[in-house]
Amino acid sequence: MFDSSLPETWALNPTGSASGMTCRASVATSTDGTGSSGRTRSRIDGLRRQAPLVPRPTGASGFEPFVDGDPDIARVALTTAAAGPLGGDHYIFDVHVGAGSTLLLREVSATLVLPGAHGDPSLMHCRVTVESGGTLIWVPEPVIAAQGCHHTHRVDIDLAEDARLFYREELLLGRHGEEPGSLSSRLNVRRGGRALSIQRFDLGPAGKGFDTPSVVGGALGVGSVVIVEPDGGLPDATAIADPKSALLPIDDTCVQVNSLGDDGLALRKRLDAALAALGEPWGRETGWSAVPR
Amino acid sequence: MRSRSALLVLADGRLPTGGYAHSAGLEQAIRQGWVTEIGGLRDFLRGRLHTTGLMNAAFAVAAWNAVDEFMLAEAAPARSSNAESTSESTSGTASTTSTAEALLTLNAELIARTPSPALRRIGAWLGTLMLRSMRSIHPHPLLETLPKDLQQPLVYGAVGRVLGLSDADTAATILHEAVTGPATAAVKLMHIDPFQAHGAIIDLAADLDEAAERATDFGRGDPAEIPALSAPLSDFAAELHEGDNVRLFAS
Repeated sequence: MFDSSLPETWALNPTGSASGMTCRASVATSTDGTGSSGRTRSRIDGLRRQAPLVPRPTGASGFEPFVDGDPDIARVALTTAAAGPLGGDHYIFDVHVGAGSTLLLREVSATLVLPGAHGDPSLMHCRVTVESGGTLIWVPEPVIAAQGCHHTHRVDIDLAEDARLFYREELLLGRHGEEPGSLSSRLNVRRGGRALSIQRFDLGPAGKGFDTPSVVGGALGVGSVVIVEPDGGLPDATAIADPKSALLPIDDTCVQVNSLGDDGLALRKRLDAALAALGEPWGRETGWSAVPR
Repeated sequence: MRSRSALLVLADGRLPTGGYAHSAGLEQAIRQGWVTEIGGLRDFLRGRLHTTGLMNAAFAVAAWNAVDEFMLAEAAPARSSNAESTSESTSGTASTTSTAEALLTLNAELIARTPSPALRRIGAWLGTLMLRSMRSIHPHPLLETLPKDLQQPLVYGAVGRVLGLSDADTAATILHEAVTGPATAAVKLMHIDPFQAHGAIIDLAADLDEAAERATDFGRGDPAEIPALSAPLSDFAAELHEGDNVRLFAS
């Protein structure tokens, strides 16, 4: 019988993966004097690319949480130069936000996880460090689990005590009208080495009981946002606008938004609505725009 | 077989530890229309045991193992009664402190995996209730040294250890409670009879056993690697339920 379970821990093996290819990419930022705005300027001082993962410096576009339009921050867009991850592929993406610097990280397109020829497990492992006074705003596009995939998407974010974070995640179960593949999404946010916000969604055929009324029900979109603001000012009470979306305070300096949607659009609308309700600088009521997000 | 009898007592819903007042989100799930009939209940229970249930059981196993040092120090004076009383009390204090620290670290890990403030409050309250009743039911030095407001699964781990249960049996107890709690609540909340509710539990026996094994493996490993196994609808149900004025169960 085919074992549909996902590997619990996947040793980081730089020389090879289960059957596919291995790819490593990284981004690093540091401070670079004072910018035109009078605030600290950030610069990209490390950019490693290996197809399919190609990070590129980019400019401001659309609404940006927390840093909206700030000309002095570092902006990088992650592009995928080839299809993937495919079954057996093993990607490692390292992000290092140096002390005092600010990085806005986006993606050009969604990540479509395909099973490949043999349907072997695939892994995307993001290892992120944000040093003292650093800020990471990460707004990736959705991870789509195509039928037959066995993908682990792991994001480890280590924050300094006074680091700032905005991280958004959208997981979609299958392309339109398709049965989903297996997706295990693991987000570990730690601050000063201590656990702060840890989530894991085991979805699709390998996620036992995921499609039940105690887990995600019939939702095909599962999303979350984690905001860490060391200066405080975040809500201290739950805001639950509709039964499938909630803003949940973790502590005085951290909130988490969790939303479900019947599809990708419904999910995005719920997350956007929760952020708009949270207000500036994290979210804004936005109408239709030709510029995606 | 002291541990077998103790296991049955701990897993018995009649043990007065406060769990009977909770439906584990089922009441709200019914109110929201997410669960409407026996099939829905069965799904609800299956989802719960593979997520929250498994995670809580893993943390109970971690707590069971975290109190090792204290239990060994407790057992030590009996073996070496000639040892100086001062050194005994020093080592006793040290093991008390390190045990408390280990439990607080586990508590922080569990809280980081519990985004719903309502569920964190309920977990701490049920932990407090269980500790309070077990101190009377079965007094033991370990129960006097536990930090305040521990989440219920960690108290379960300590209680299981004190009662002589294995860590795997403690995990099985938590998983049993994770499904029997809402299943018995269902009889009061839905148009189903107790036979159907218990049928649903029996149907899940293989799932429960498997989850207990997985939880035991996770709990014996690095606590930082215990999976969070998020259940957003349960989080939403807990938050919605707190804001509901008319309710039969506390959660």
